[in-house]
Amino acid sequence: MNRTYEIMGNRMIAYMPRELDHHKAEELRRKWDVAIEGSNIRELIFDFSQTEFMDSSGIGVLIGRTRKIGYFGGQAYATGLNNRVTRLFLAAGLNELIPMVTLQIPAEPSQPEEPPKLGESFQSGGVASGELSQSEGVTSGELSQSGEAASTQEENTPGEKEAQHEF
Amino acid sequence: MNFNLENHVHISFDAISINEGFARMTVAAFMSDMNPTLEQICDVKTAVSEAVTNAIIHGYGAGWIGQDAESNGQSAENKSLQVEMVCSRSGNRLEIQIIDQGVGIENVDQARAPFYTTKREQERSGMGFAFMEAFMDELSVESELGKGTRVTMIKYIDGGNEQ
Repeated sequence: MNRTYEIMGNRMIAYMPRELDHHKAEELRRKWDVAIEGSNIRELIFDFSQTEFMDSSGIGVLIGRTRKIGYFGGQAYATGLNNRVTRLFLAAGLNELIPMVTLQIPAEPSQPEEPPKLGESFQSGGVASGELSQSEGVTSGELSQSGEAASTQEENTPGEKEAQHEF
Repeated sequence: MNFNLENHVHISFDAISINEGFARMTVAAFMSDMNPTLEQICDVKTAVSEAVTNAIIHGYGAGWIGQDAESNGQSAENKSLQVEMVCSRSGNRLEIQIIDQGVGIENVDQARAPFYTTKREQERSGMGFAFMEAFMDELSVESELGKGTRVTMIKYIDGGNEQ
């Protein structure tokens, strides 16, 4: 887990660390800013799927990057938040600035062409054919459920469905 | 059965950002035999992280120390700056003090207000004290300009994992 971000077309996925505190936030801010300024990013996705801990310093760095990409006409989203991080998001009202979404990236890169649902500037190429669906106004419990639903859905790709039914 | 156990730990560490994680892990270890829930551990870790970060950034104005060469000078300069953490347990009562000898806070009530920050340019969210208050049962802040700040936080660890 040394990747701190990935750029696919106009979309940047920022991989959030296991513990996002002041120390880590400052380190990542420098790396992400270089990437945001160097590329034509329109969608910034904070991927929290590895994150167990976040404090108010994390909130600061999220707001900062969201504003920055806003100057370039882009939007930031957050995905993969556990209950704890969701609680902090809601406490700070961050969900109004950074919508919490469910991100599905197909396991197999070569899936039939499916147009991206969100973000007109998004360019689908190779691995980047992901689908971003917005789950508005969810409570922490619902969010984690929707996350689980997403991963199960990923496993039950049409081809495998039959095979999984024979017990 | 160590319900009425008394225990005290006093630690002093350099005011550099990498020690925020150290302080969190230490307090989690200290409270582990109080049979806390994961939620309670997380609450205390968050509150300690906020208080230690405040001591480093605001108390000492020490900012971030990374592994790159650019911050080496700052690292040497901060050697004498220490943050103290005192953990005390009395039965199910956990008390944590975070103490610095830094600049002090001019107006504690203002500092405690949500979203208030003196370092907006450093992307501070102003939620530090609000989180300490939200995640602990009691919070008190004593501060004197030019002398330093002492944050005292109390949490009752009951209804935890009985076993």
